[in-house]
Amino acid sequence: MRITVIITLALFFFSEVQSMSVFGVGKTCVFSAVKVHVTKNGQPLKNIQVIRRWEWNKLKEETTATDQNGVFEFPAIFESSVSRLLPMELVIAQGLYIIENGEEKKIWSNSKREPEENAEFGGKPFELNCEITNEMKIYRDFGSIMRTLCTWED
Amino acid sequence: MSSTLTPIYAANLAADVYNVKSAMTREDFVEAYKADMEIGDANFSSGVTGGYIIKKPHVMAVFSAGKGKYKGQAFIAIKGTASLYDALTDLNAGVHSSHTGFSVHQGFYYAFDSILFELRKFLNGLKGISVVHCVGHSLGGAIATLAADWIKANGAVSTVKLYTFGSPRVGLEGFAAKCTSRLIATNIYRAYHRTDPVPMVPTWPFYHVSNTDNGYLIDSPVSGIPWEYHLMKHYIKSTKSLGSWKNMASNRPANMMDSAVESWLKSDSIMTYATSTLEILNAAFIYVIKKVINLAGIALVAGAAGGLTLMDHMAMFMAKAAKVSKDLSIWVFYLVRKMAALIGIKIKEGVDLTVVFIRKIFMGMHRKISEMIWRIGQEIS
Repeated sequence: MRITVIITLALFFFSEVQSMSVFGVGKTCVFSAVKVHVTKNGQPLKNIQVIRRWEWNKLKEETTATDQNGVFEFPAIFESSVSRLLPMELVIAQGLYIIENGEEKKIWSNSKREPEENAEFGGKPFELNCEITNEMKIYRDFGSIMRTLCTWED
Repeated sequence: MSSTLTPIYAANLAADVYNVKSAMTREDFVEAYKADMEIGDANFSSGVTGGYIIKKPHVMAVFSAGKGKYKGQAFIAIKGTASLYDALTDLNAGVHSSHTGFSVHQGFYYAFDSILFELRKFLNGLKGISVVHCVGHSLGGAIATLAADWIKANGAVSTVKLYTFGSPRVGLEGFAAKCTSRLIATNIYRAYHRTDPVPMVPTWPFYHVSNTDNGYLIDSPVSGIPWEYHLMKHYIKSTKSLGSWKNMASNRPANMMDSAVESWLKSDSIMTYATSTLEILNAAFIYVIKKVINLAGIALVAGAAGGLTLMDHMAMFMAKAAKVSKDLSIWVFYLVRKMAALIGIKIKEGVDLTVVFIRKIFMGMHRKISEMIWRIGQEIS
């Protein structure tokens, strides 16, 4: 018997949405609180401009500067999106850049795939030591691809 | 060495292809795969040497010749975008004849069609490639299936391997059968978690590829978030812990038995929203429709033509079946009763299962759920 049929595609799929609570799709941490110590040849890089960028639905950025000890900090950022209602992968591109002698240099980037704060480092605080003469390396320690010249405490 | 990607490699690639969306992480993708792929960041949308990174409204993809230990092989890694979910959840969506001549979901057809020009150029430029690996998660898995089918039908490459994670069904029975025989079932690695709802849609008569086995079913718990086990992080964890395709095959949980489906349909128990409900409802749906077709020989001839929607055809099919015999009408009743229970309507045995009534149940369910999506959207925006 040859059957040419088109049948309901998503009736049951839709039905699943009923169990979704607002709690489950609340705010998403798009970038955890950051504390970074920047050095060049072991010496603190003082008063240099730093950019933090992230891209979930839109590319956004903010800037700060290192202090006298070469340290900069950013607070955690949260956003919400209706896209969390779909069974979609959460993919937030993240990057940290410094501006040295007028040139922008990437020191850390990552693809954040989980909504929780500090998911970047598997739940540990986002604290890095970045010696900018180091080479950028790929790390897969926390699931997705992280690329950085910085190091962190295990 | 074997030319089959390991489960963890395929899962990582299916997850990493999401990173090409942003320029920030695109270069990290290229860097992470530089030992295995010819792709370079300069190839973005241009395809100069060895590969392409493509960004279209509904699809993003990486096509690359392999190098190092993957020399002589090529990679096609695909991700779908949010806009494709409209196609998957559109109750009026239809089928379209695939580029290889079989009926497939039209949303996936158009998504694949949008990358075909680049895919053709990429394949024409390949030299000395004997194996192509097509990889994708979710909607990307559906498009990877169409890509694998088309590449094999194209004849330029002797072996095409397909690796999908949580892929929805792509086409009707004819497509599933032809694609399976074209690729050969042993070259198809369809991994899915038991509590991942996406592989359960579209429902019958859409079929999975391969149509000859149960795929690589992975046990997973029920979660408060219905699609938790659809996420790649869980597929990565599962493939890591199971290690090999052989291990994954030997750890397949048992299928749902017809007898379990029957007793669930007959029971008048309270319905709760959970992935397990979805799974058994889907199985029950298929069970009843197959029964109708086998016993009554009723064909559901449908399409969006003539102003009739999928819901209309579905309701007509069920109502017609209910009129054939008592043996059949009781099963249609059981199914409609379960669906009605999900929207809070209690129906009694003996109710007249007319087209209008069945349609009302289907549409009521659809409407209620749509309203809920809208309301949650309002609350969080």
